[in-house]
Amino acid sequence: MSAAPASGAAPTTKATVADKSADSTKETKPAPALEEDDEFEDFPVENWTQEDTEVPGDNTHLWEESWDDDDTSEDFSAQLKEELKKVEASKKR
Amino acid sequence: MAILDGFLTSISGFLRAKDALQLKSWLAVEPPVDEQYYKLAQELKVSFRDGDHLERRITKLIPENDDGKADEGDVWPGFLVFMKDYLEFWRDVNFEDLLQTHLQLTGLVNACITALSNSSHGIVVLPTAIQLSQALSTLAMTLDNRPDLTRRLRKVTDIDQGETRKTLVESTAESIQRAFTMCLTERSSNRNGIGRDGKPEGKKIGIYSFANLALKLFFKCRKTQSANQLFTNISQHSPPLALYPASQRVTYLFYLGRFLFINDSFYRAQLCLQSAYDQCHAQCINQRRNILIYLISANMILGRFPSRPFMSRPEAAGILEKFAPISKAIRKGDIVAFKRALGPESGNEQWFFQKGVLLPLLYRCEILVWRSLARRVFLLTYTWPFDLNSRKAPTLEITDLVVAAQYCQKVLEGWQKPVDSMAVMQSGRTHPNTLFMKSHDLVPPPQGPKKLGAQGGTVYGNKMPDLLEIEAIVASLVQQGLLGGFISHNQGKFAILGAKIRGGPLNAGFPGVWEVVKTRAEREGKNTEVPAWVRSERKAPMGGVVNLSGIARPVGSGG
Repeated sequence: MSAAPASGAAPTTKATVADKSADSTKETKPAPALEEDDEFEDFPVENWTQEDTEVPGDNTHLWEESWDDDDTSEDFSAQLKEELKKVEASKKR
Repeated sequence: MAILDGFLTSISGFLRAKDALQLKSWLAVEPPVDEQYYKLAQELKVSFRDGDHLERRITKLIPENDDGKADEGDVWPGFLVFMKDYLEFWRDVNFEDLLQTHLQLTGLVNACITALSNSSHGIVVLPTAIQLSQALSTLAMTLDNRPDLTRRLRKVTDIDQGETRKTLVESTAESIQRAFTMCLTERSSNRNGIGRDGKPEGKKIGIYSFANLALKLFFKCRKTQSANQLFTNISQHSPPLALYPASQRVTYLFYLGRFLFINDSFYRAQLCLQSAYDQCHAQCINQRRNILIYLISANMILGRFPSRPFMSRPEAAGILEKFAPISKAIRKGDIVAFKRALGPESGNEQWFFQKGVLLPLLYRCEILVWRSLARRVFLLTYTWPFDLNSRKAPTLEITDLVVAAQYCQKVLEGWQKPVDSMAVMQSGRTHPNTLFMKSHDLVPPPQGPKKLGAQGGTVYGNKMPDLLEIEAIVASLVQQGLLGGFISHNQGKFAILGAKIRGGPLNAGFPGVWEVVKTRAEREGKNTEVPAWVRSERKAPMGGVVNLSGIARPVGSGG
């Protein structure tokens, strides 16, 4: 075995893989300096726990489900109102 | 020959000890590797040019296990062929020539997969097969990004006996899919392919490693329909996804979500992508960002917009800004702003296109804009307040909606108001008699209306929307449950039903989109079952019966 490639060259236990990669995640991903055409990368870690997925802040209301806008004073509404009024007026004439 | 002999003796030892992880770490192919591999390559070049000579050496140093000890591993013919291919790979490889390396590595991966197929011993090369497939996949992806290198491909594939039609990425995916099928369909001794330790049994542990590699390549070469068979097979034979490591779960759900998205199954796509996002490591920004792009797109189509919590998340940086104008336009019912948010004016059209979400957003969100426009016209034309005691149903004149649509069409075509000379003279102050004066109509641009593409107009290109078309749109909204009421064709009106019991005409006539979509999905059972997302154990081993009823969990709770 002495002449064979060093067996230490690759990690051999699961624990080593996980620990090593977990550290490298922290080191290599400090800021989201991302290219727009980034492809989905391979994960640097094989497994993680529920706690590792948690992000700070509100995680319960990610999606706005009631978003209707009742404000009719903005530009678009004002223009529509004007158009409708014009057509209404021409009907009466 | 010292290095080769030592190497083979070690490999033999690992086989006996069934040490799959050591085998994997020794059978490396991807640089950077230990200096010893280059020395080994040199030795092979010098002393083992002859394949038969090499074969004899391998057979001698990795002998069959004569002791007959049941708990020891043994060598098998497929492994010897693989070892010969492995050593020849190192002997002949030139990492400078990526295309040739890909060809050699493909051969090696195929030999390894054949070795894997041995029913009693094959499992020991599973981690090696995964590692080699990963290297092959990375190389194929690299080559796909380098057309300058694949120019020679035509020549190379000509040798490959006629299979010239497939791209390099696609043929790589197919090689890997062979390993996937092998793992998936392996006959297992325990029920459902789950071992006593609760983990997938035998080769089934490799299912999602290979599936994810194949999926990545199918998406890369845009042959996503090839993934269909893979997903069908998973539905029929896979142990629950929850038994696999987080990285595999998230990657798989990402691709399944995208596949469902491409196939217009947005509700189920959203379930997969939300679960992928929830289970993703908080620090894996690249992956979270990729998931988020499709998660937001699917949700917008379903009538849900990204909310405040996303604003502080690094993966959402740069993304929310692109989607915000779309949701703003949908809220208002502003068709012009909607077309512009997805058009070249936004500066994001190319980005949406490259991500594969441009057309789904354009086609699928449009109906939401129409719903909001109808709502807005109702808000502007209905005589408020709503009288609870009145027997008359609140109505919307369809002709009013036609006026609004025609106005939008004109703006899209570049119509403008003539400059009001009186307003200019009065520095913008309104003349007291404005109320009695006819305001100026929009006029077409002097050079003629802007030429619009099929999707660039309100209904179709430069077609000015008329009553017939708008009535059809309203009918479609009613049919989809996005408007609550009915059309009176004779009176040219849309009448709202249930205004009294549903808290007024707005709530009754224009129910929340997500609420409608969700209720429909629940009615159709789409909320509990997603094909190819195996959430529960199969009842009958190898029976091919998938029973998902009643056991599936809600979004994000696992899987």
